[in-house]
Amino acid sequence: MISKRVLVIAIAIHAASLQTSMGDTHRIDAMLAEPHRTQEVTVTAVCDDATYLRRLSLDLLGRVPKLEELNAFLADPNRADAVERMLNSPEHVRFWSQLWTVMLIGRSDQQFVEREVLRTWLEQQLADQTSLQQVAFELISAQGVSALTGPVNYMAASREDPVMRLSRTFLAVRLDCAQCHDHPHDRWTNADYQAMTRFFQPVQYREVSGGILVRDSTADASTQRPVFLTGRQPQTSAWRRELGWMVVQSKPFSRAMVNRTWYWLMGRGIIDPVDDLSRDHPPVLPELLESLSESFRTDGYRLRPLIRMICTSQAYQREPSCGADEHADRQRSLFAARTVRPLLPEQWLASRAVVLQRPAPTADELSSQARQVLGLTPQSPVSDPYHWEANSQTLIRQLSLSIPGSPADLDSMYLSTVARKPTAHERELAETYSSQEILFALLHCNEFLMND
Amino acid sequence: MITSSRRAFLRGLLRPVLAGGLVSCMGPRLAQAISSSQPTGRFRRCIVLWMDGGPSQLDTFDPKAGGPRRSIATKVPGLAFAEPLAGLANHADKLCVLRSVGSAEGEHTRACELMHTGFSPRPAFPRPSLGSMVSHDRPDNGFPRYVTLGGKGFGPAFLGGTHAPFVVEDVDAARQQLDVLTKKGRELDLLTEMNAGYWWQRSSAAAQQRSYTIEAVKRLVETPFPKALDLSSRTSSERDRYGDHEFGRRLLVAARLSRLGVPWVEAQLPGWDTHVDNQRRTDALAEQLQQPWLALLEDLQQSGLWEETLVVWMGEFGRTPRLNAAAGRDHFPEVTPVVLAGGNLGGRTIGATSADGAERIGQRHEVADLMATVLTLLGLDLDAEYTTDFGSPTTKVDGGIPIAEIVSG
Repeated sequence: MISKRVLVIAIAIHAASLQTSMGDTHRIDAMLAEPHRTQEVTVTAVCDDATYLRRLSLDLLGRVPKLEELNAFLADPNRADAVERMLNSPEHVRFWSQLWTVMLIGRSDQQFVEREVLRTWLEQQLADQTSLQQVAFELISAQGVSALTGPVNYMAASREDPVMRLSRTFLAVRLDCAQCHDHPHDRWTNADYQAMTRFFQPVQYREVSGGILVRDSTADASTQRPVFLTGRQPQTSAWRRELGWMVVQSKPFSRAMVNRTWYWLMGRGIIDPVDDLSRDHPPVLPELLESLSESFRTDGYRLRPLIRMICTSQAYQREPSCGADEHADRQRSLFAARTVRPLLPEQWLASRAVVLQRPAPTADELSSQARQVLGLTPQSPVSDPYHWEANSQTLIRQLSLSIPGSPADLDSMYLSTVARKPTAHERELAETYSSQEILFALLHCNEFLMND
Repeated sequence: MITSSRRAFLRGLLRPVLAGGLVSCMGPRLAQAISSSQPTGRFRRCIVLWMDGGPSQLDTFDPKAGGPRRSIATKVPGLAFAEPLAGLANHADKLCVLRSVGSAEGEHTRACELMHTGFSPRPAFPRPSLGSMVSHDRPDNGFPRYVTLGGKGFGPAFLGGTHAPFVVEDVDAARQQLDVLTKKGRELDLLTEMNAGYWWQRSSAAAQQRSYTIEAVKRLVETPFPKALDLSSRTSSERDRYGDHEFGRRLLVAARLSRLGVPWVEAQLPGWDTHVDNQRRTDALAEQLQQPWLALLEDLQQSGLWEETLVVWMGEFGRTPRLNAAAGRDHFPEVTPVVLAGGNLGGRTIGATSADGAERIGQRHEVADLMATVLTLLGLDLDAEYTTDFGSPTTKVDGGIPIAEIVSG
């Protein structure tokens, strides 16, 4: 661990050169400086190169770096280049298509919902850098058969409460909370919720040979027309298509997309919880959210420029905070320190394959293995991939998996799992424990299991 | 997550006002609940026999004259069982048959959730299952407090992962997983040491939670819990008594875990979705059910745990009184058969169904009433509310009132 400390100095120098090479202070950091000053929050140091590559690789590719990738990076530690390389890799779009799939339909298996059909469609959209406006529109207005048309599966999975999914995912509001009664502190009422549900009234679900057929009947002219949150009403009988356009053209949509992306990369949303913009949970830094949303719109609602901007900021590169006090809390909530997160089951499984030098699991294998590890209990319907909790049974399943292959030398084992060499104390431990035992502990220890 | 008793608040402040307008707007149910007496927990633990798919009441505990099933008179005057369960007739005095329960949920997933949580499902507001509530109510004794034997699990919702069901889909596989860990003492010690040295351990709640769970697993493998899953160590006579089939093994393990002190164990018997060929299939299911159930009743009485173990038999709904074209029975939530056993609950029938079985006559109970009854029997305070992770106070049951004849003993 001492190496980590010493490296910080070297990194600080490197980070300074990175900044000059990219021009002035990074826009995100410039916008954070003021709130940090006024709220008397000190920022943590910028993390070392190995930590940065591990973090970036987990966040963008869904796995720890391979040994050769780590060595290559340490020989030429250009962080902006690493971001570029990963953004252009097929692994990135595959991992993010998986995150998106879990966000849209959750992790558990559902009847008539073809996970892979949706995921491959999303993967194609992300690879083509399709505007998220277009992606969201197609999801919200999807019609067709689930086995054939990717976005239809989002509708098929949301049939119990389509307004909940839509409002939480694409508008970052929990409109569904108003379905029982009005909340005294909230802006949205039960009437708003009911008016929104009417957009989905014409939707028909029919079992067909290829799964489920989703399509709209013609809206009955005599029924009350739906109303979007802005007060707009559909002008034609294609209610759901109009809803799609109203959603993606609204400012809350771009804010929700930016906030979601920020949250996946930074470990905490500018709106927190990520899908609960309300009077109780205003954005912690509204100007930052607005500014990023503005660029997101200007950039054609594409994810890559946004990810690039976040990952090259110093805010993204900060170390976690050492403390557990109130100041440390404030550091995390104002992005002056990294929020430590446990690896997703998918990230853990893919990383495990890297360490054990096994073939990378396919997306389909990853989702079914993740389900095995998580167990059969339905997870929270709030479809946030990062909203999951390991219980003792999850842990038993993880710990009892056999470890195929034979352990490598001590240095390689440490580098491939926790991106550093063993300390003197750990070298001593290696005299008491076998390599197999050390490999087991490394694959399950917090340092491996946490994205810090 | 905190629990707060609102009894004092309700009794002290609201009651004088209740005479005014509040009663009407709160409804008679809540008003009644306020005046209900202090819950008396007679049972320490519960074993649920879950009939997955929805068991036919007509082929089990509610046969109809003129139907395809012969009625078998039982030890209790006036109470008859359907022929497939003739073996239970001699033990009818130990069973409390409810014919008064019904719901409006006729779809499997939704009805399963209702019968596990007591609330109709609402994706935006997931509710904890009863097993999770009981787990949350009971002290930590080193092993899971809510175990499900079978392929389905119902979550803890806002009560948190500690109270998630320990789902044993396959008894042997679960035992093997625990066996692997029993042999990994050295590795687990090394793991603990490495975690203690993790640089960000102190500042990361997630890391601390994980270390805590690892310690819980290390404690678990030291308890008799893994041994209870080991069927090879049972005497063959014990296995023979429970029956050499999947449900027999599940109920045997359930009995062992319950005796160990696991307060909520559910053993699942799937296959009750008899849309086709109802008669033959319910015959086979009744046979799988009857023998282990009899063994369980015998064990509970012999071990002296009868007075403190509640046994609940139920599934997601009942089935249509009329046979369909495929000689099967379809979903019929209007009548949802339930049987309770344990202590002095036996020998009575609550409610009745009409001669053609098409409706409940006399007493009618909602699923929420059943859940309120079960929780009361287990000593949970229905007046104490939970606070969800999104800050909303909520009751344990959906306005249910304990069934007086049952809880008054």
